[in-house]
Order: sequence, then C-alpha cells, then structure tokens
Amino acid sequence: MTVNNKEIIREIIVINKLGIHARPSSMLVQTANQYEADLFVSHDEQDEVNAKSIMGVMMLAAGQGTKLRFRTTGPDGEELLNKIEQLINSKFNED
Amino acid sequence: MKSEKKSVTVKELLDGLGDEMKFKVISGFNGLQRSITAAEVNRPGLALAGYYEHFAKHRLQVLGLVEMDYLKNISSSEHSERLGRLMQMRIPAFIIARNFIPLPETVALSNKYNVPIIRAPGITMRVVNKTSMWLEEQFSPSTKVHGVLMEVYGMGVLITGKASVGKSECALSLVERGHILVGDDVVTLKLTEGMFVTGYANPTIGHHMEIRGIGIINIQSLYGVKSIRMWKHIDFVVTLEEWQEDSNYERLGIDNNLIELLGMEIPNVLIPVKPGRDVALLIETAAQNEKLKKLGFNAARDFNEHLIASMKKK
Repeated sequence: MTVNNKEIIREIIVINKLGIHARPSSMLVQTANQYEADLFVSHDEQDEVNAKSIMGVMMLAAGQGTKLRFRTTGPDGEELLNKIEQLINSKFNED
Repeated sequence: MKSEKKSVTVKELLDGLGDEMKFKVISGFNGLQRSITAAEVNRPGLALAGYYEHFAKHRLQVLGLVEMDYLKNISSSEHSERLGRLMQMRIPAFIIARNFIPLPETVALSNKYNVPIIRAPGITMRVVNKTSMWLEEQFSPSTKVHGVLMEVYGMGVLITGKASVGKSECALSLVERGHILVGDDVVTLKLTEGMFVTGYANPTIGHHMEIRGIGIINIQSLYGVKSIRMWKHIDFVVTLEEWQEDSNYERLGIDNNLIELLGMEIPNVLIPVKPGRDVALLIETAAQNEKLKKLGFNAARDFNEHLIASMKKK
C-alpha cells in the first residue's frame, strides 16, 4: 500500500501560447478529478495549490514557458501525471 | 507551505509604502536593490557622534530633526568621515523625515557609496512607526490555506473542508444573506502584530468564485461592493465534513476545540453536512455564538450552571 502511495514529482513546461488560462485550467482540473491521487502544482515551493481546484490553478497565472512542478501522492499518481503531461504537451488543443 | 521572508529590498519598500508615506528617493539610485533584513528601524544618532559599537547596520536609518541638525553643526571632515563609515557598513538606506533637505556633501556620499536617501514629509515618529509596522508585516510568517474566508456578523470565519464538500456554495449562501466575502479557494494567511491571523484575498482570483454547474461568478458585480473586503482577522475556523453516522459530533459546546494556524490557537467548529441541513444558517449561528464567547458569555456553560443550580434546589 505504501509503495503505491509514494510521492512523485514531475516538472512540466507550459508550451501553449496563452498559458494556463480559464479553459486549460478547467481541462487540467477535470483530468485531475478523474483520479484518486492528490495532485498539487506550483511555480516554486511556496505557491503550491491544489490542482483539483480550478481557482487555485488559475491563480498560478502560469504563462507560456512557465515550469510547473506537479506533486502527486496516491495509487494512480503516475498515470495521472502522464495524462497531465500529455494534456499540457497537446497545448490543450489550442494554438 | 509555511514561509517566512528573510529580506526585502529598498525598492520593495518604496513600492509598498511609497505612495502612502510620500517617499521620494533623491540620491543613491544605484542602491535600490539593497536588502533590508531587520524589521526594526534605527536612528543613528550615536554613530553620527562617532560611537560605532553595536551599530544596527542592517536596519533602515531614520534621520530626524536631531540628526539633521547635528550633521549641520559638525565639521565637513567629521561629516564625511562618519557618514562615509556608516555608508560603507552596507546599511540599506537613509530615510529623512519632515522633508529636511540633506547637505550636498551627504548627497554626494550617498551617490558615491550607492546608499539611497529617501525623503518623507511625515514627522519622525510617524516615519519610524509606519515603516517598522510595514517591515514587520513583510517578515511575519505566512501560509496559504484551501478554503473560503468570510466576514459573518463582523466575525472572520475561515471555512475549510475537503474538495466538493460545499464550501463555495455555503459561502455564496452567506453572501446572499448579506455577509462579506474576503477570498475563495486559496487564502493567504499572515501573522500580524504578532497576535492576529489575518487572511487576505488573492490578487489574481479577486472576488471570483467557482460554483459547480454554473462556473465562474463575480461576487462584486453580482452583489455589489458591500459584499467584499480585502482582508480580515480570523476569529474562528469552520470545518465542513460529510456527515458520518459513526462520528460523535459536538452536542454541548462547553469546551472549545482549537486548531493551530501560524502558531496561534483558533477556535474550530466542526459542522457535518448532509442534504437538508442549512449550513449557512449554522455558520451564522456559530459566528454569533463565538462572538458571545468572545464577549465572555458561553451559552453552554451558562445553561449547565443553571441546570446544576436547579438540581441543588431540589
């Protein structure tokens, strides 16, 4: 059980032109909410917010080129991070 | 997530307090990135007189009437030797109160050693007080919490609980009843004046809320400016949780449950949520009850005393 719940950290760079504005935030949060694992995201240690909360994610105001640090704990954390990375790299179907 | 700032730059001081105090930098512009690492300010009278032991070199140096007058009355060699020595100690900046005009030699030294001189129109005591209060606020511990901060009947209420337990809906219901929103979702907490846990609205989110099913709403435009404020001292914390049949919820309220925020103990009220419970009403009631307790009246204790007294009579 503890093996499954280990903390995973992954840094992902925002590449879409407008950054994580309202629509990408909602896509990100909706993805995160499909998983059991907790997901937190920050620019730096201090500003960590819950990635399952849309206002929290928008608060980051992460523009293009921002390096986001995702931290997850929970059984399906790895899978969730893969999905999030895929989503960010797909530029949220924008651009 | 708790964090504490260790230093602020002179420029940050000017940005943060400059407008209010009408600060004006007149020289030493290259030193605006100098850092201030102490919350106190210093009046360098003794150092100007030539006594440098224990000189508080990390502090902002405030020059008032006495210092300015003294500087005028010493010889120019003493002036440049002493002020020069002070400026080489890497002090952050000088603030001259009452808009006194510094001597040209002082300005020249300030430019030479890149120590900013700031002029302020306020009287010395006001400059000292305001500046140290601002600095203390910058250096105070802060943290971010997930929840909604509201003012209910004048009481600062932080509503916390797991995601989708209904914090935002409950807050909306409170706003509808005329209470005030400070911040939704992410609230920054700071320890102010060493005794208050103060919550601030997030500048990016402002007074927007996200309500499942509707989306993002703007409380200020929906309910008017009366329904918002920027900060509030926190008087108590409400924790919402899904009603669990096997959990023992508070039935009396004789003892205070406390929760720790930034090292301070704050009363904590656990409210179980289930369909049909009017949570906003419960929070209003809790706010009034906490207010009574703050004024020294504990309804549960009072009731119990009456109960004990009536049993004694029998």
